[in-house]
Amino acid sequence: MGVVSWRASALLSWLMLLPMLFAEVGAAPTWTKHTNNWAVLVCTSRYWFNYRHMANTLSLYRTVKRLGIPDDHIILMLADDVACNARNARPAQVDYRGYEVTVENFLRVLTGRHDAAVPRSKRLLSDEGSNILLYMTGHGGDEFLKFQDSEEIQSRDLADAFAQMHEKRRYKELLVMVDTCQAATLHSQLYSPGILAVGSSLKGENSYSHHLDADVGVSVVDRFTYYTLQFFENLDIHSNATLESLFKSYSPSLLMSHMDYRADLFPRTLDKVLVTDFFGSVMGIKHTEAAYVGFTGRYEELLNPQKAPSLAAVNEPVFEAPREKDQVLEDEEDLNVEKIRHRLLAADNDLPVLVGLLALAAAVTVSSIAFPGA
Amino acid sequence: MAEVEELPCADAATSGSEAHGSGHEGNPASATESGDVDAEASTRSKPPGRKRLFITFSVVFFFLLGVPFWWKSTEVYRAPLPFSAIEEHAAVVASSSLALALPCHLHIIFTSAAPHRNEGLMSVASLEKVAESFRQHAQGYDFGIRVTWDADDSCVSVGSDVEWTWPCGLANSDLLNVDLRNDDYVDEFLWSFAKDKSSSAGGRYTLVVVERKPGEDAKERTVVGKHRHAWMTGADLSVPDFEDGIASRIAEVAVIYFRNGGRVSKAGRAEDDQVPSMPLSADGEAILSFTLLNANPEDWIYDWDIEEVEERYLQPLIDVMEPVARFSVESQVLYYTPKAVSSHWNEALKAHLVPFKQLPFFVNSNEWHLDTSSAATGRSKILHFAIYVPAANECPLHMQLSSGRISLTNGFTSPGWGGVTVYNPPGCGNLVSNNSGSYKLSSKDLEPVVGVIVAQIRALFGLPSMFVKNAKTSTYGVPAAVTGIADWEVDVLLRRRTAMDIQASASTLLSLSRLVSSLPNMVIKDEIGEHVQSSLAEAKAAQSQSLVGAYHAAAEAARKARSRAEAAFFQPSIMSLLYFPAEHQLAIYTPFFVPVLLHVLVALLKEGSRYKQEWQKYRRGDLKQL
Repeated sequence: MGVVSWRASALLSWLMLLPMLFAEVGAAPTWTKHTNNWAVLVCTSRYWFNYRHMANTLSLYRTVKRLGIPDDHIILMLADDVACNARNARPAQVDYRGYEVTVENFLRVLTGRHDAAVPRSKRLLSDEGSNILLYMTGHGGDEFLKFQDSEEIQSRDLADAFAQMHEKRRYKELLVMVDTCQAATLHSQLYSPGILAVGSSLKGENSYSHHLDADVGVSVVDRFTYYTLQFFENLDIHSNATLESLFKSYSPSLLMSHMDYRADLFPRTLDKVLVTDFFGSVMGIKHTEAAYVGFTGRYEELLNPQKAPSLAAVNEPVFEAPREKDQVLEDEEDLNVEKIRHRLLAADNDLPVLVGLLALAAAVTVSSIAFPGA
Repeated sequence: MAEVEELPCADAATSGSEAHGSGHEGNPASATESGDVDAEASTRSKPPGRKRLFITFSVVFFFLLGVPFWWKSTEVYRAPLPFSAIEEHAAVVASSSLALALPCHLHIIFTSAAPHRNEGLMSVASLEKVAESFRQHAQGYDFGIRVTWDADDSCVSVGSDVEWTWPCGLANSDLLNVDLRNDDYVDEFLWSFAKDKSSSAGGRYTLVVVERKPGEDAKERTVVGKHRHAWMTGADLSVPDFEDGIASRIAEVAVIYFRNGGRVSKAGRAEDDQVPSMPLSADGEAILSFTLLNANPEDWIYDWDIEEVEERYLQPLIDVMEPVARFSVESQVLYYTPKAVSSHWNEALKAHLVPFKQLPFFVNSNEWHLDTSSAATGRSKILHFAIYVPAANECPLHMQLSSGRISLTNGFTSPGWGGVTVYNPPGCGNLVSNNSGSYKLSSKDLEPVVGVIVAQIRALFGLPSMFVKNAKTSTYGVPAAVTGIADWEVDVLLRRRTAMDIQASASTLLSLSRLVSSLPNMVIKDEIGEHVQSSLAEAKAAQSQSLVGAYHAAAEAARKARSRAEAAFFQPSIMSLLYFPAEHQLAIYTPFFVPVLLHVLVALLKEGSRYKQEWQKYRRGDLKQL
């Protein structure tokens, strides 16, 4: 059941040794810069009284965008849909909204196991050179984080998901920031390398909101996030501020809780890590030294230029109905048959269904008249 | 029943109590014979019946019988995965990368212009010395070697005898009459000589050494063609012990170019074992996405004839790269896309300059909506190529390197992402910006830009932007004018991609087996088992094909192996939300089983102890009677 048998544990320990064979040959522990940045911002609670959680996430989204991470590298999960309200002058691009924010979807985003039909904007397409910022806010407790009032994610599941990300080399370095009550307990089970975990409060402590807005009627931001955003307010992409200075800027008296972080799995020391390594985005650049000299392409003039190769060759679940329609338009001979077939296969089936029902009713009436009492 | 016969007055009581496991049978038993309760309470004359015990135990047995059913029905379905095969395969892959390396063969042909030199110049011993010397100089790389002396009427060869080698008769051909300084012509000549009679397949290279004509200055010059051959002219074969010198230079060409694609690896073989990754999806495909960016359409609007560009310039490259990666091409034109950095005007150069330090911020991710591919699925890899047309107030725009000089290409790449290049409208320094003209760039106009794009594609895949010539040893190359990538460079990429795919598939399968072992509650569908099996089969096929030297077949099998391994690992049905601590399991099962089992077990215990007591009474009774 939950117990691993001795044989399995022996196998596991032997398997753990095998990665040593994959270690880079003669690799010195020098640090190479990351090549791209991703941000996964999750707000797990809904309803109006949890306004501050959504505000936390959205203001961090703005900050991260301002510092350069592009929209297609940000995955924004909001359990309630404030950002897409028609009155919002600057809507955000929310990737997962409302009831789509579930533990399962969250873990699918982290591990990359999506259904084939999930679009690119909903996937975390990171690689081994990516630095990922994971920010989670909501209601939490001892070793869990609550999603949408109906389910929860445990610290062990989160640690397993990170382990899978590490196995598949989906990150280079990962910064996890959690702003909930007893946030530091969520980090207690982490065991994969390259992770720096920050929590807004220790076990047994609550994280408090910052201030109340009289117009809105509820608290609008949490303290930890507020002071984080305040730190970033004066920074821009060229800034040299380090994570150490960020962590030093938090004061327990203002936060009314003790911020805790866990750096034992992180390879670098915090005074060498720039905040823009996680909160901003810098591309690795290689200058193109020279054009390919002597390149002329095809000599002969093409008389019949072909179109670009069809992109529909990519294997993708394609719905059959639209193709049928095209065939109907081209094919003049068996138009009627094609039309009927198309009608039957099309999504909108009302007319044939109606016809079928009427025919059925007629048949029933006829048969009951013809064979009464049968 | 014995008790019933002996206790006529207790008939009703015992028959009524047969069905119950209560203990009031003891009372009638003690009222036998003597009628004295106390004296007979400790003995009995007949052994106690086992019926009640049997009945009680049968209830417990019924529950015990149900345990295997319960175990089986709550078992998660796990398709059997070949764990041992996976580990074995991973160990093989990790331990010997030689097993993955596609073999290379080199055929060295010595020929001479002087017509009277037929036999005798290069004896068999001499050829063997060359072969031996080559092996020594090849820095540990494995080359199949064959050396031939091609004379007027015969050829003498040593080395491995394979059917693909170039035929005899080079000395009789027109080679020695052509102008050997015309590289293109010599290249085509050699190719047409060879291609009908031998198959130019992957990994098979030829190097023709032409002895210098008498009176010609002895300057060796090596040229690497764009197919799979190279030639060396001006070789001096008359000095004693020329074999070693020639062999070392041949080995240099073979290792640096044919084997490593132009890269000099100082650490020798060890560095080569670190396989760089290529920007491809798990299925070995990539989408080349071209974007023309108009920074300020109010100044001028540029459109382009991208279809002709693609057909004329890109299609040959795509075709020749087919075994390495399958490309598809997309394009778009965007407007109002300013860059994110500012440039400064340089009076001396009469240009706007962007310093190299600012280039990482050049791409304006907020305004440049590059990733709008409609055909890309979730698992595709997109490489972006952005051609930036600056606005009038920043035109001409150049990039300034850290050394201070201006970039010749105005382009840069970002590994794994793509490349950017700047197209300055011609004469834009003089144009006034108040007329917004609309222009269409023909493929002729875009030719210089396409040269940069080809160089960028090469750089993204790990090849140098162009042939790395070596003036010191006079090694030059013939550029692949039509395709942009020489055949031997495609071989280099194929070797790297095959090794990368096999390693990736082995490590993915190992991660999968680790994951599966560590989560015993996880359902493993049949699909995953099938993918794993086919991935292992393809990996074995790749290894066997690579031993034989079938480059394309090995690469295709390796690609499939990786694709299946990734499909198995990223199966959506594997979810890691399966941590059930013991407390949870206890909490789930306790309310089901404990209330019922408690009663049954208590009954069993009580019945068992009663039976033991009765048995002891019987014992005492027996002893008494004796």
